[in-house]
Amino acid sequence: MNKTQKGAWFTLVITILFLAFGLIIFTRMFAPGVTSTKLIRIWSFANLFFMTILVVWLRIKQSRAEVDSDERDELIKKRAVLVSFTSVWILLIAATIIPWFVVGQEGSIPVCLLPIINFGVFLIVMLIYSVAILAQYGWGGEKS
Amino acid sequence: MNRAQKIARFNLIVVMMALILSVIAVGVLYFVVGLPMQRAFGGFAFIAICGLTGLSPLLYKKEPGKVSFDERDLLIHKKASLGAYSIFWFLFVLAAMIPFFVLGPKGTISVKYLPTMVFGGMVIVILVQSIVTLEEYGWRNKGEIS
Repeated sequence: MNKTQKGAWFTLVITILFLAFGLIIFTRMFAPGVTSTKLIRIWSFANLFFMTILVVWLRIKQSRAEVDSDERDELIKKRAVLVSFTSVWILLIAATIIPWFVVGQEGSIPVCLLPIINFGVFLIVMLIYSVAILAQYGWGGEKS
Repeated sequence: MNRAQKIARFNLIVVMMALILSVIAVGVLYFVVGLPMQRAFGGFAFIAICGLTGLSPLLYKKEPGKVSFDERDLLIHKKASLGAYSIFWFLFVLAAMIPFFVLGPKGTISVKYLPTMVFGGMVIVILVQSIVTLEEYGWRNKGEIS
Protein backbone atom coordinates (compact mmCIF):
# COMPACT_ATOMS: atom_id res chain seq x y z
CA MET A 1 0.00 0.00 0.00
CA ASN A 2 1.53 3.34 -1.01
CA LYS A 3 1.41 6.70 0.77
CA THR A 4 -1.62 8.02 -1.17
CA GLN A 5 -3.64 4.89 -0.33
CA LYS A 6 -2.66 5.10 3.32
CA GLY A 7 -3.65 8.76 3.36
CA ALA A 8 -7.01 7.86 1.82
CA TRP A 9 -7.61 5.10 4.40
CA PHE A 10 -6.67 7.57 7.13
CA THR A 11 -9.18 10.14 5.86
CA LEU A 12 -11.84 7.46 5.39
CA VAL A 13 -11.57 6.09 8.93
CA ILE A 14 -11.38 9.52 10.55
CA THR A 15 -14.32 10.93 8.60
CA ILE A 16 -16.47 7.87 9.40
CA LEU A 17 -15.59 8.25 13.09
CA PHE A 18 -16.39 11.97 13.07
CA LEU A 19 -19.59 11.47 11.10
CA ALA A 20 -20.78 8.83 13.56
CA PHE A 21 -19.77 11.11 16.42
CA GLY A 22 -21.62 14.06 14.90
CA LEU A 23 -24.67 11.94 14.14
CA ILE A 24 -24.91 10.79 17.77
CA ILE A 25 -24.62 14.37 19.06
CA PHE A 26 -27.10 15.61 16.46
CA THR A 27 -29.76 13.00 17.25
CA ARG A 28 -29.43 13.64 20.98
CA MET A 29 -29.28 17.43 20.65
CA PHE A 30 -33.02 17.79 20.09
CA ALA A 31 -34.11 15.05 22.50
CA PRO A 32 -35.24 16.64 25.79
CA GLY A 33 -33.61 15.45 29.00
CA VAL A 34 -30.96 13.30 27.30
CA THR A 35 -27.36 13.93 28.30
CA SER A 36 -24.60 12.04 26.61
CA THR A 37 -21.48 13.52 28.21
CA LYS A 38 -19.96 10.10 29.00
CA LEU A 39 -20.58 8.80 25.47
CA ILE A 40 -19.10 11.98 23.93
CA ARG A 41 -16.04 11.67 26.17
CA ILE A 42 -15.45 8.00 25.27
CA TRP A 43 -15.99 8.67 21.57
CA SER A 44 -13.60 11.66 21.64
CA PHE A 45 -10.87 9.53 23.22
CA ALA A 46 -11.54 6.75 20.68
CA ASN A 47 -11.18 9.28 17.83
CA LEU A 48 -7.92 10.60 19.25
CA PHE A 49 -6.60 7.05 19.77
CA PHE A 50 -7.37 6.00 16.18
CA MET A 51 -5.93 9.25 14.80
CA THR A 52 -2.64 8.67 16.66
CA ILE A 53 -2.36 5.06 15.47
CA LEU A 54 -3.18 6.03 11.90
CA VAL A 55 -0.65 8.89 11.88
CA VAL A 56 2.09 6.43 12.95
CA TRP A 57 0.93 3.93 10.28
CA LEU A 58 0.93 6.71 7.70
CA ARG A 59 4.59 7.47 8.36
CA ILE A 60 5.75 3.88 7.71
CA LYS A 61 7.02 3.44 4.16
CA GLN A 62 6.99 0.22 2.08
CA SER A 63 10.71 0.65 1.53
CA ARG A 64 13.32 3.35 1.93
CA ALA A 65 13.27 3.91 -1.81
CA GLU A 66 9.51 4.57 -1.96
CA VAL A 67 8.70 7.92 -3.57
CA ASP A 68 6.00 10.15 -2.07
CA SER A 69 3.93 10.21 -5.27
CA ASP A 70 4.38 9.76 -9.02
CA GLU A 71 2.39 10.82 -12.12
CA ARG A 72 -0.15 8.02 -11.68
CA ASP A 73 -0.82 9.05 -8.08
CA GLU A 74 -1.22 12.67 -9.17
CA LEU A 75 -3.73 11.64 -11.84
CA ILE A 76 -5.68 9.56 -9.32
CA LYS A 77 -5.70 12.46 -6.86
CA LYS A 78 -6.80 14.85 -9.60
CA ARG A 79 -9.76 12.64 -10.53
CA ALA A 80 -10.68 12.29 -6.84
CA VAL A 81 -10.59 16.08 -6.41
CA LEU A 82 -12.87 16.47 -9.43
CA VAL A 83 -15.35 13.98 -7.98
CA SER A 84 -15.28 15.70 -4.58
CA PHE A 85 -15.73 19.19 -6.10
CA THR A 86 -18.79 17.91 -7.96
CA SER A 87 -20.11 16.33 -4.80
CA VAL A 88 -19.76 19.67 -2.94
CA TRP A 89 -22.45 21.19 -5.17
CA ILE A 90 -24.75 18.16 -5.04
CA LEU A 91 -24.54 18.11 -1.23
CA LEU A 92 -25.01 21.86 -0.87
CA ILE A 93 -28.03 21.91 -3.14
CA ALA A 94 -29.45 18.94 -1.21
CA ALA A 95 -28.78 20.78 2.08
CA THR A 96 -30.69 23.75 0.66
CA ILE A 97 -33.68 21.87 -0.71
CA ILE A 98 -34.27 19.43 2.18
CA PRO A 99 -35.05 22.15 4.82
CA TRP A 100 -37.46 23.82 2.32
CA PHE A 101 -39.43 20.58 2.14
CA VAL A 102 -39.23 19.93 5.89
CA VAL A 103 -40.20 23.34 7.29
CA GLY A 104 -41.91 24.88 4.26
CA GLN A 105 -41.12 27.94 2.18
CA GLU A 106 -41.86 30.44 4.95
CA GLY A 107 -40.35 28.38 7.76
CA SER A 108 -37.16 28.90 9.69
CA ILE A 109 -34.40 26.62 10.95
CA PRO A 110 -32.28 26.74 14.13
CA VAL A 111 -29.16 28.76 13.47
CA CYS A 112 -27.01 26.00 14.99
CA LEU A 113 -27.84 23.89 11.91
CA LEU A 114 -25.66 26.11 9.69
CA PRO A 115 -22.27 25.05 11.16
CA ILE A 116 -23.57 21.46 11.28
CA ILE A 117 -24.35 21.63 7.53
CA ASN A 118 -20.92 23.16 7.01
CA PHE A 119 -19.02 20.52 8.92
CA GLY A 120 -21.22 17.69 7.63
CA VAL A 121 -20.65 18.68 4.00
CA PHE A 122 -16.91 18.93 4.65
CA LEU A 123 -16.78 15.45 6.20
CA ILE A 124 -18.87 13.83 3.46
CA VAL A 125 -16.73 15.46 0.76
CA MET A 126 -13.58 14.13 2.45
CA LEU A 127 -15.22 10.70 2.63
CA ILE A 128 -16.03 10.83 -1.10
CA TYR A 129 -12.47 11.97 -1.87
CA SER A 130 -10.91 9.05 0.00
CA VAL A 131 -13.38 6.52 -1.46
CA ALA A 132 -12.63 7.86 -4.97
CA ILE A 133 -8.89 7.38 -4.38
CA LEU A 134 -9.29 3.89 -2.95
CA ALA A 135 -11.71 2.84 -5.68
CA GLN A 136 -9.21 3.90 -8.36
CA TYR A 137 -6.41 1.93 -6.72
CA GLY A 138 -8.75 -1.04 -6.34
CA TRP A 139 -9.07 -0.91 -2.51
CA GLY A 140 -6.53 -3.66 -2.16
CA GLY A 141 -3.17 -3.88 -0.50
CA GLU A 142 -1.40 -5.04 -3.67
CA LYS A 143 1.90 -3.27 -4.20
CA SER A 144 0.87 -0.09 -5.97
CA MET B 1 -5.97 34.68 -26.48
CA ASN B 2 -6.39 30.97 -25.90
CA ARG B 3 -9.65 29.10 -25.19
CA ALA B 4 -9.28 29.15 -21.38
CA GLN B 5 -8.72 32.90 -21.40
CA LYS B 6 -11.73 33.50 -23.64
CA ILE B 7 -13.94 31.36 -21.37
CA ALA B 8 -12.65 33.13 -18.25
CA ARG B 9 -13.22 36.55 -19.82
CA PHE B 10 -16.74 35.61 -20.92
CA ASN B 11 -17.62 34.24 -17.45
CA LEU B 12 -16.21 37.31 -15.74
CA ILE B 13 -18.20 39.69 -17.95
CA VAL B 14 -21.42 37.68 -17.42
CA VAL B 15 -21.03 37.49 -13.63
CA MET B 16 -20.09 41.15 -13.29
CA MET B 17 -23.03 42.15 -15.49
CA ALA B 18 -25.41 40.04 -13.39
CA LEU B 19 -24.11 41.54 -10.14
CA ILE B 20 -24.21 45.15 -11.38
CA LEU B 21 -27.72 44.78 -12.86
CA SER B 22 -28.93 43.17 -9.63
CA VAL B 23 -27.58 45.98 -7.46
CA ILE B 24 -29.06 48.61 -9.82
CA ALA B 25 -32.43 46.82 -9.85
CA VAL B 26 -32.56 46.59 -6.04
CA GLY B 27 -31.60 50.26 -5.77
CA VAL B 28 -34.23 51.35 -8.30
CA LEU B 29 -36.97 49.24 -6.70
CA TYR B 30 -36.16 50.57 -3.24
CA PHE B 31 -35.26 54.22 -3.82
CA VAL B 32 -37.19 55.09 -7.00
CA VAL B 33 -40.24 52.81 -6.93
CA GLY B 34 -40.42 52.90 -3.12
CA LEU B 35 -40.95 49.19 -2.51
CA PRO B 36 -40.07 47.80 0.95
CA MET B 37 -36.54 46.34 1.13
CA GLN B 38 -37.78 42.74 1.35
CA ARG B 39 -39.64 43.12 -1.98
CA ALA B 40 -36.89 45.20 -3.55
CA PHE B 41 -34.56 42.23 -3.10
CA GLY B 42 -36.51 40.72 -5.99
CA GLY B 43 -34.10 42.70 -8.14
CA PHE B 44 -31.56 39.99 -7.43
CA ALA B 45 -33.42 37.94 -10.04
CA PHE B 46 -30.84 39.36 -12.46
CA ILE B 47 -28.35 36.93 -10.88
CA ALA B 48 -30.03 34.35 -13.15
CA ILE B 49 -27.93 35.83 -15.96
CA CYS B 50 -25.02 33.87 -14.41
CA GLY B 51 -26.61 30.77 -15.95
CA LEU B 52 -25.14 31.96 -19.27
CA THR B 53 -21.70 30.90 -18.01
CA GLY B 54 -22.79 27.33 -18.75
CA LEU B 55 -22.74 28.25 -22.45
CA SER B 56 -19.09 29.32 -22.49
CA PRO B 57 -17.62 25.88 -23.42
CA LEU B 58 -20.12 25.76 -26.31
CA LEU B 59 -19.32 29.28 -27.51
CA TYR B 60 -15.58 28.64 -27.45
CA LYS B 61 -15.35 25.14 -28.83
CA LYS B 62 -12.17 23.08 -29.03
CA GLU B 63 -10.61 23.25 -32.46
CA PRO B 64 -10.31 19.75 -33.89
CA GLY B 65 -6.78 18.56 -34.48
CA LYS B 66 -5.24 21.25 -32.28
CA VAL B 67 -3.81 20.87 -28.78
CA SER B 68 -5.79 23.34 -26.71
CA PHE B 69 -4.58 22.32 -23.25
CA ASP B 70 -1.01 21.61 -22.14
CA GLU B 71 0.75 21.21 -18.76
CA ARG B 72 0.91 24.98 -18.21
CA ASP B 73 -2.82 25.37 -18.86
CA LEU B 74 -3.47 22.49 -16.49
CA LEU B 75 -1.39 24.14 -13.77
CA ILE B 76 -3.21 27.45 -14.24
CA HIS B 77 -6.58 25.68 -14.16
CA LYS B 78 -5.54 23.87 -10.97
CA LYS B 79 -4.43 27.13 -9.31
CA ALA B 80 -7.64 28.89 -10.34
CA SER B 81 -9.85 26.08 -9.01
CA LEU B 82 -7.91 25.86 -5.76
CA GLY B 83 -8.11 29.62 -5.25
CA ALA B 84 -11.81 29.71 -6.08
CA TYR B 85 -12.77 26.85 -3.78
CA SER B 86 -10.55 28.11 -0.93
CA ILE B 87 -12.21 31.54 -1.00
CA PHE B 88 -15.65 29.97 -1.44
CA TRP B 89 -15.14 27.67 1.57
CA PHE B 90 -13.82 30.52 3.74
CA LEU B 91 -16.85 32.69 2.91
CA PHE B 92 -19.21 29.73 3.30
CA VAL B 93 -17.90 29.07 6.82
CA LEU B 94 -18.24 32.79 7.60
CA ALA B 95 -21.82 32.79 6.26
CA ALA B 96 -22.61 29.90 8.58
CA MET B 97 -20.82 31.21 11.65
CA ILE B 98 -21.80 34.92 11.57
CA PRO B 99 -25.56 34.26 12.10
CA PHE B 100 -24.59 31.75 14.80
CA PHE B 101 -22.70 34.42 16.73
CA VAL B 102 -25.14 37.26 15.96
CA LEU B 103 -28.39 35.42 16.78
CA GLY B 104 -26.93 33.04 19.36
CA PRO B 105 -27.16 29.23 19.36
CA LYS B 106 -30.88 29.32 20.22
CA GLY B 107 -31.76 31.70 17.37
CA THR B 108 -33.58 30.81 14.18
CA ILE B 109 -33.05 31.88 10.59
CA SER B 110 -35.31 31.88 7.54
CA VAL B 111 -34.97 28.82 5.32
CA LYS B 112 -34.46 31.23 2.40
CA TYR B 113 -30.99 32.01 3.73
CA LEU B 114 -29.64 28.60 2.61
CA PRO B 115 -30.12 29.03 -1.17
CA THR B 116 -28.62 32.52 -0.86
CA MET B 117 -25.51 30.93 0.66
CA VAL B 118 -25.26 28.26 -2.04
CA PHE B 119 -25.95 30.44 -5.08
CA GLY B 120 -23.76 33.21 -3.67
CA GLY B 121 -21.05 30.56 -3.37
CA MET B 122 -21.51 29.52 -7.01
CA VAL B 123 -21.14 33.13 -8.16
CA ILE B 124 -17.99 33.53 -6.05
CA VAL B 125 -16.44 30.34 -7.47
CA ILE B 126 -17.03 31.46 -11.08
CA LEU B 127 -15.82 34.99 -10.34
CA VAL B 128 -12.62 34.00 -8.52
CA GLN B 129 -11.82 31.22 -11.01
CA SER B 130 -12.12 33.66 -13.92
CA ILE B 131 -10.06 36.37 -12.20
CA VAL B 132 -7.27 33.94 -11.22
CA THR B 133 -7.21 32.44 -14.74
CA LEU B 134 -6.95 35.86 -16.37
CA GLU B 135 -4.38 37.00 -13.81
CA GLU B 136 -2.21 33.94 -14.48
CA TYR B 137 -2.37 34.23 -18.28
CA GLY B 138 -2.39 38.02 -18.31
CA TRP B 139 -5.48 40.13 -18.93
CA ARG B 140 -4.51 41.11 -22.46
CA ASN B 141 -3.71 39.20 -25.59
CA LYS B 142 -0.03 38.19 -25.45
CA GLY B 143 -0.06 36.23 -28.64
CA GLU B 144 -1.38 33.03 -27.09
CA ILE B 145 -3.51 31.01 -29.44
CA SER B 146 -5.80 28.07 -28.81
